[in-house]
Amino acid sequence: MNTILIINTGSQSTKIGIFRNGEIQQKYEIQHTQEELRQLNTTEKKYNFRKTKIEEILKKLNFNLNSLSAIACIGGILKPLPGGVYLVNDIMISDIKRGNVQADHASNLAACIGYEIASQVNIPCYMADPISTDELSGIARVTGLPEIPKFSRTHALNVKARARKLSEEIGKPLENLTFIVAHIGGGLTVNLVKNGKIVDIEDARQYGPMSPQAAGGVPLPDFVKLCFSKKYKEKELVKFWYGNGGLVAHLGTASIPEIEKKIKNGDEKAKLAYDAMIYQVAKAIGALYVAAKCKINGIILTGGAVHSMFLVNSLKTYIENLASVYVYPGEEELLTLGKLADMALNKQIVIYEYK
Amino acid sequence: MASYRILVINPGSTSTKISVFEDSVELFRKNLQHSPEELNQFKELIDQFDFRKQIIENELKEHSISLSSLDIIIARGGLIRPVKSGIYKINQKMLSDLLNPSIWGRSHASNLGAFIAKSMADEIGIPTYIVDPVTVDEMEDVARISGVPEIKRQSIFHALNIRSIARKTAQKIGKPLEECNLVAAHMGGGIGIAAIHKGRIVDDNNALLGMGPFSPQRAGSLPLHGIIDLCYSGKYSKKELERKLLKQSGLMGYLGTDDGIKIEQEIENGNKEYENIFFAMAYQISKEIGAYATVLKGKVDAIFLTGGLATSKRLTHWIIERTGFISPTYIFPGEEEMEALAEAGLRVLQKKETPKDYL
Repeated sequence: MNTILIINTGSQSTKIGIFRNGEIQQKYEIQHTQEELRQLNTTEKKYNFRKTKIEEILKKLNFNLNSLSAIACIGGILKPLPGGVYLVNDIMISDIKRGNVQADHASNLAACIGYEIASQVNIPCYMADPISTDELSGIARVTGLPEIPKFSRTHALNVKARARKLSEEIGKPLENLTFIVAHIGGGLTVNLVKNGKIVDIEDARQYGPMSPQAAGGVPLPDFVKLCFSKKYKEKELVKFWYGNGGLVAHLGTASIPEIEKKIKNGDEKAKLAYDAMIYQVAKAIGALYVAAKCKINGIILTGGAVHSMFLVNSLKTYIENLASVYVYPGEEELLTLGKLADMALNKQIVIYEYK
Repeated sequence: MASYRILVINPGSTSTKISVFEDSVELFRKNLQHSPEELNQFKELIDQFDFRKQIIENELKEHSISLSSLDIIIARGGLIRPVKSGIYKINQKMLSDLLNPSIWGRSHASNLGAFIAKSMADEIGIPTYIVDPVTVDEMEDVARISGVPEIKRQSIFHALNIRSIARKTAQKIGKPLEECNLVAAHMGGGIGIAAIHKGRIVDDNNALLGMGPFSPQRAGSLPLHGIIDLCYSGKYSKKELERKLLKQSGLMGYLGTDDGIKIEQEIENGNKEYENIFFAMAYQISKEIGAYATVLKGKVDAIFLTGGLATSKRLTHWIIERTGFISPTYIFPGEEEMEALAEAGLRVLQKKETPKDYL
């Protein structure tokens, strides 16, 4: 039986899981404070910080590395890649360390740390469905300006896991199914999943719906005006747009429970902003529905925000006439990574080589 | 029964269209072209007033139509303040708003219509109105909210043609417009998609330079990180970039032409690049129709496609291939702005519709 160590380096926390026998047997999470993180000004410092934390956890769990069959790591923002399970290799590590990636993001550290530990005990290290999974169809990439094509940066791991789960529930192979998967968390992506591939996307980073933290699409004249207003330096604008826009900008918080509490207390402004986010998600789902020629096998709602029945029910009023709606709250990153690595070890799925 | 004579004035950026109707019958229509040389002599748009008015009066004379034989003058509405749809009396407030660039930050040739109509109508003491200006705004509040509090989504679209075609579509369905849920796509130089809920336009993509599909010249929605790059690159001034997004994007940006006939010809000849880009535009239009069908909660009586590009069978076929499952689709190629304006004038004269005051 395979025992797999799973490493997930999130932007605010580090998570560790031990997968065996189809389940997460043990898990551990350390939250990092803003202060701790702010001091880490080089990739090396970030790496050492996380690695020390992980070693501490392993010591606490009193875990023997020699009992491991493999390590599975969260996939970060690397270069654009087709989704799937990758064997972490020297080329990937060198790309991450040299910055040959789309963004310097905490999630990229998992593979580096996992690879180092795996090398010590001579077992394979896997990474799966990274955030930079890009399988968009040619037609989805075309925008109104040749120099700014659309690309994909998405919650691929959770999106694909939910699509696999629904295909099992329906009892048909994923290869014959088309789903729309809306992942609503701090970030927000609405994905058209066709034959297991994410062929089109509407997301808060490009011009799709706003999210709790990202502003999403706005009319171009307004945006150009903002860019030229000198109110923001380039980096500040990026940070504002992707981290402090959306519900945060309207309401000062990205917390769905907090916002729903405001609404219950009669806060009209909170209700309007929250409704607007839901409305925009609905429009994105409608757009992808037509992109698929209206032939879809289900709409999946997933991610942290989907724990809210208020959100699910409001969204459903717009979309329930299009297709059956399935709700899978939260994301099970550790379990998904464990299952994928297990299948990889058992040679049940293709393992991609990173080049 | 006495018939009514209606003069319709519709100024565009390079031409002025005029029509004279007797009730519903068009006596004549003329598209008076203005060369760049003629127009370039005027610094501001409003300076073209005398020039365009004179040309209209000459044309009427040539057709032996005396001013005094007219019962009403209807002009296309310009960039006034956001208003509910309908017919509006041209008053001083409207004229001064049309001259106020702080409202929209730009002027549009259609702004001239109200000035010319009012001036001619006052000479002979007849009523004059504008109808469904591009600034008709009946959006729901929820549709106005963007992901940034300072940026409000606005409604700008081809209200006149869309509302006129919506009425026709309702007739085809056999229901009053007030009971119809429709998705409208006006496909011309700009592409406007709107959700019409029980006759009211509750959301639209803002065809001038809003979101949604790219158009023959305009960019539509773009990944904003790319715009940040362009804005901060130092390569473009704000004006240059705005111009690029408004005039040099879309089909023009990819193919160097926005001429539908030429593009179709190239596709016929097997030019894959042309086909790919034209198809991408159809794909984006379809997706936007899907978004607005969802605004209507999927309960759509009909979709209609109109505007100059609706003459392209290839384009409408590609769209219906994707959207066909939502509802029946009606195609009304071209636009019927002149008819729509005249019909509105007739409704006023026959007291079937009460004009609104512009406040």
